[in-house]
Amino acid sequence: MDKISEKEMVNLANKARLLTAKMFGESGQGGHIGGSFSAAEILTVLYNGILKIDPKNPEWELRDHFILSKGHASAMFASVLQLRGFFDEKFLKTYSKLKSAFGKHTTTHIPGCEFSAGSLGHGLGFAIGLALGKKLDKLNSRVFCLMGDGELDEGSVWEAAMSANKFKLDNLIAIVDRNGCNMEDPTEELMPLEPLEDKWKSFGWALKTIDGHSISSLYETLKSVPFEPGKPSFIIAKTVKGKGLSCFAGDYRCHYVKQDEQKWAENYKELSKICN
Amino acid sequence: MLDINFKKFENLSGKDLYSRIFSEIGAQNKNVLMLGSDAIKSNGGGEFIGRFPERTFDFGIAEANMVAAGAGLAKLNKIPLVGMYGFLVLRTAEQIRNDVCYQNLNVKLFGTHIGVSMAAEGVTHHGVNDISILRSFPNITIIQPASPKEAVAAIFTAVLDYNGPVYLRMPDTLCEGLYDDTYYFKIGKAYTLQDGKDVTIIASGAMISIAKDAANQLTSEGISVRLINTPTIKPMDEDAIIKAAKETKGIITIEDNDLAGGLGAEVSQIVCDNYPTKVKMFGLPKDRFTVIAPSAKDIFDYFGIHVEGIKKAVKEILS
Repeated sequence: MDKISEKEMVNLANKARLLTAKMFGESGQGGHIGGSFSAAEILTVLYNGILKIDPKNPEWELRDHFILSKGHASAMFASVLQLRGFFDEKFLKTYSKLKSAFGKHTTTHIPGCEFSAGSLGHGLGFAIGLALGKKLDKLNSRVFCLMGDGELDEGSVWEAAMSANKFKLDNLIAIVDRNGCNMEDPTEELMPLEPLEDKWKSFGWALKTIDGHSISSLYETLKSVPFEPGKPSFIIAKTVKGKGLSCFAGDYRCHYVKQDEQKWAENYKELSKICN
Repeated sequence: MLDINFKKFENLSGKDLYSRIFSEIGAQNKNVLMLGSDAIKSNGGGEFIGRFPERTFDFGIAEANMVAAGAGLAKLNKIPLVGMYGFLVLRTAEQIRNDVCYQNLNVKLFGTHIGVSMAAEGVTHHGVNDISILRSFPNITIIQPASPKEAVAAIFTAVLDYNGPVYLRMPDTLCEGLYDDTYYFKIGKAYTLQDGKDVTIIASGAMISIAKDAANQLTSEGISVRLINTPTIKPMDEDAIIKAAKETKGIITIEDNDLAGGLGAEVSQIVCDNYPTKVKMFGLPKDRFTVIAPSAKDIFDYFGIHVEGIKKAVKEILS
């Protein structure tokens, strides 16, 4: 691994979990714990080991673009950006405040955030446009897009999947946070996605399935894109919804959590123990 | 102001005119791209494809993805011309709102086969909600030309001389001879085609033709009609509307959009907020589906959108 050790990366992901929990608790708003915590390592590895970016110059024209399509991981995304140096920690205190740059979904008013997300199934299509534009301009930079697995129910995702193959966008890498849960039920009960690998392969994507909480797996896999020249790359990152907090991990009901101060205090304590 | 050579577009009309306009715009700026969904030629992109195949992208019958991708391209400073039949604004409304308008990206959407121009194709193909939907989205400008000259000037301006989301509502039929050589197009400006002091008729796009016929007949009957063409539907020229409300005894609006939320609704809102007066709206009726018919004129006649109806309404206002 370049520059930053696996141990440091683990710590950064857990710090992001703590910052996220504090935004949810201290704002009194609660938030999307489940899909935020499942994406902690994916986002941390992208922003600390993979993406060509400059936190001091978020608009750097040669940068890689990252599109968070599962916009409900907004607070986690902001935490990762903060830890990467895009802005000061006090910015996080604006979560869900009047006229804030971000609430429970992302906006481009967050420094470093490329896409205003929320309604699901939009990000991959937007990423197609970015990847096409980079090809037209002969830029070597890439486009990464993170989706939720429940999000794959949206028809627009599959429209985008078809077009990535048509346009041979091997500069496009889509990742699905495969935590196995929709908002109200496990994915396979609500709207079965399996066999997910076969579906994406049949749409013309080169694909790998990995442990979405393993720093080394994420790093090695993301470093090896494109998996095949001329093909878009798809990563199924198997994760646990609510990972990091024992009371939520693996429970599909933790999509959105609002609880009292005492419970938040217990959560901070548990998360502090796993942060150095 | 843009320097446009109108001679290149002489004697062209309808799809041939639009096709030439897009290709000439493509020649002026290499960042201009053509996006379509199995209807690029049908939408008037034929000449563009021929000259710039490497800048043409067909997304198949997947309009939502096309609009989202257009927004992504605009983020990299491309100027995507994103074409669709007018009724497909319904399908792509969320992509237009969130991906294009909320992020204020320089995407040029254009709707063809608008209104009830595909009369016999049936109700599913009638694009009568696009204005209503897009009027409610911040940041987007809605432009609908009425004459060939206005089409050239308006589309050139919207694409090459304006940075921001635009919906170009492009009529199948345009009205010749509306303007003299002093004409210039400016976004947000309404044009008084004929001045008058008794009543004002406001229309846009293909409906200018009916409005003009009604105005001519009323004039010959001794009624002084002010005829206003408003190629920019959003933002509308409020000053021109308020002036008409103050200086004439009432306003008639004519459109081929549903009356729930179209041009007439915008005029009414401006009038109510500033200088209440009588407004009579002609358009596709609220809370009713359109009907299948051989032609758009048959549908207009069926719903009472015709010269006689307009004349009657004018006389009622003046009585």
